Amino acid sequence: MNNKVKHWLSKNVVVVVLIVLCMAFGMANKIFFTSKNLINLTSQMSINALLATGLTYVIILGGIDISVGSVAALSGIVSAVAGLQFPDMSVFTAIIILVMSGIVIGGACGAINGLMITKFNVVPMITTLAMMTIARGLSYVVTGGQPVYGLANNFAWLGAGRIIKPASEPNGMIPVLTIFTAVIVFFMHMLLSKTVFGRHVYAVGSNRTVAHLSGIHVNKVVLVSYILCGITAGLGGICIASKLQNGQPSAGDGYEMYAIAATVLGGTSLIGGSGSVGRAMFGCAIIAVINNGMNLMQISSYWQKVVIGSIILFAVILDMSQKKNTK
Amino acid sequence: MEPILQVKKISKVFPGVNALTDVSADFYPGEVHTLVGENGAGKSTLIKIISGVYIPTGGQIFLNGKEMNFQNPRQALDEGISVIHQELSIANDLTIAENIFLGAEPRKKNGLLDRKKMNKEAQDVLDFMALDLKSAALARDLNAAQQQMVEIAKVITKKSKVVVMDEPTSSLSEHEINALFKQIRILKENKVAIIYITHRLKELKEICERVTILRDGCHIKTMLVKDTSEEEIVTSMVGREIGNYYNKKGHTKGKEMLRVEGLTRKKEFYDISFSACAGEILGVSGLVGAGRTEVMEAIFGAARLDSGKIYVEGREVLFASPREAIAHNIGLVTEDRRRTGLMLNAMIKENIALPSLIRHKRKLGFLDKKWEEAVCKEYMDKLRIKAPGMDTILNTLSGGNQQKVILAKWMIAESKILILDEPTRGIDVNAKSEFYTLMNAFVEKGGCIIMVSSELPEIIGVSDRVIVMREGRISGELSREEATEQRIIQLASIHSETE
Repeated sequence: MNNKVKHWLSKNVVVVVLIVLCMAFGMANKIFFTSKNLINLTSQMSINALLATGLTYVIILGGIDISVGSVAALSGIVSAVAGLQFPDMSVFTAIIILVMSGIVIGGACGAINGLMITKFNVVPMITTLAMMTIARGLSYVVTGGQPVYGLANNFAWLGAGRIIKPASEPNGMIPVLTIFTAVIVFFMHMLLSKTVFGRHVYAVGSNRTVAHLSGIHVNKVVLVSYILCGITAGLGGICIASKLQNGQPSAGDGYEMYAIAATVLGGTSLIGGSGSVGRAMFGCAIIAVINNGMNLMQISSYWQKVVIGSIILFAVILDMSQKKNTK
Repeated sequence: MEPILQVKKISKVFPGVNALTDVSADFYPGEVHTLVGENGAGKSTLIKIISGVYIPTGGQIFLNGKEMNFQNPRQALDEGISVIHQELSIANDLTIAENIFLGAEPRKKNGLLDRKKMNKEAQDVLDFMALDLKSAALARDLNAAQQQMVEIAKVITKKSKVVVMDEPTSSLSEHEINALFKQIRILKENKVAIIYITHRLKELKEICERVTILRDGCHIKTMLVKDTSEEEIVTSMVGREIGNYYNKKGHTKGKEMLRVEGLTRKKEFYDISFSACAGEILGVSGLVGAGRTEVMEAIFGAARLDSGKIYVEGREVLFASPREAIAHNIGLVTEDRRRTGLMLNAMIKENIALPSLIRHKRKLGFLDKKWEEAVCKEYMDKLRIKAPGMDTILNTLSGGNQQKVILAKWMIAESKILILDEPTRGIDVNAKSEFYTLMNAFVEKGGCIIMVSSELPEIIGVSDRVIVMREGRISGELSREEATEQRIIQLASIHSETE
């Protein structure tokens, strides 16, 4: 029995850390456990969750994508520029514009990353470093360095809107952003854990040669994964644009680091072969809880970075020592 | 004669396993002392204790009569105990000289690397060993046998007193083994004690003085090689008599399954033509480097052909990738199971089902987990794969069981033609025997096996027909009756002036 508990604990360190953090912040500040704050939390972690979802695929493959923050910015800019063409858009039109921008721009950037890696054998770190710079540069080129303003109010429904409006909460309770993110995350989780394609992703990450010799189209798996990663980054970007109701060329700066951190905190191995979208969400939650809790305690955001960095180191060390033990 | 190294009542306990129990042995200078035993008998644990990798739970180690307490491999190395691992520890991007002096680089007075001295001393050793190698050459460009020679050069420069060799011959051809033995004899003349591990018992008579048999972590007995026989050793290893080791049977040949004509891939193999039938095990013999593996990879679509034709069941095919070969019911068991055969960190079921997932997917590309688990259970029973469950991680299985997992994988993929490249390398006698039984059963049901092997007794014991390759070409074909060690060696050997 004791062993079983130990085993569960060692496999679910993220969950334990998350609970401990919540308890600590809950005790330190009464506002933390209010339903309002907790719902806010889900919306705060949404953007990072979207980015981390696709990144999980790429990291399981043993690759990396550091362009997600810039790709998010470019997608957001494009959606804002497109949105300006429809001054009195409906909510439905707004969603179409936003989602299409995310999928097309994100997908295209992901496809370029994937093709460079599969066709020209460029190392993922370098390919996506180039893409990070290119996408960020394009964002500034398209906007001339100025934010894109003047978008219709409906443009903001996806990122800032809320549904279910009881009398006590005239602004609504549940953020649309949370629901949108949950749908995407659920889809990506199922694709990875329940389909043949998902299994192939693990196989390629686990041993590329074995996968190839077992009849798996390795390049296709890699390409599709980078496209998916681009798309989720693009969707994250349009959510930022929608939330702010404008297009910022500097949006998503440094978000790739938070997304990678969330994925690693969720136990996805940077060597490839193991990990899961669901667990990456716990990683996102930990980062969001730390930010939120420290905000409530009015600790400077500069210190938040130091704390999150330290937590990542701690998580990775813990992860490595577990792996040693199981060997 | 005084033993240089003594282990006394050594025990090692891992959580839940007694890996070694009260093992004692003496190792004498100028002698090759072989450790034999099945996988899991405790050979590796013993050498890891001797070389300081593991700290024993009980017992003592004496070197030159002085008790040693190694806490790490560095200490053992400093006392003159070197290990040549089965998986060679050569840094590919360094030169031969840099490899030989790795960790003990000569320095100039100002502390900088003395490359000149290093290259010269390394070259002296290579010359002493009568090797045709340049010390400034990159290790990457050496073949497995040459890399092994570099490992031995390392040992000589370190002036080691005790050298442990873990299956040094497992990836060498007969020709290269002779070259290795020559070096071992030189070490012996220099009064080095050699601890030798091998699965090839016929090497014992040739090179070894003493043999210690381990079984289930216990010391069974130590004998002088000249006073014993191979049968006696095998019997004490497994604890029972093994009857027909290869389970050799005549098979009834069916229709032609695979025919290749004039396969050529420049610089690797030329004009390869042969056929293989249902109900037949076709052996492919030859020296390592004769191009056997390359031919098999090309047939399987894993490497491109420059010219030639392949027919499967009479129809001409050309596979651009292994995927297409698998669709034509061909399976390939590669020679390096750890690197190219298995996902070592994945579960048994994930490995076993991998090539067949596409064929058995459900609507919308969902995995058929029920099918996966059912078929996995069925084949684990059928092939008697010993593991706690189908979720067991491959890394924790023995070599024999890992190999069975690969076999199960291709059987589930409905392979009719199985290409086995060195299928029993590094697995123990019992597991080998079981593996041959499975091969025979597969062939009797109408399957076709093409088996590449460097072990002559295996080729002769298992094959219905043998083709021999030499320097990228087929040098002869022998029927079951004609295939003797002598004939095969004749066909495989390179007849050049240097011989």
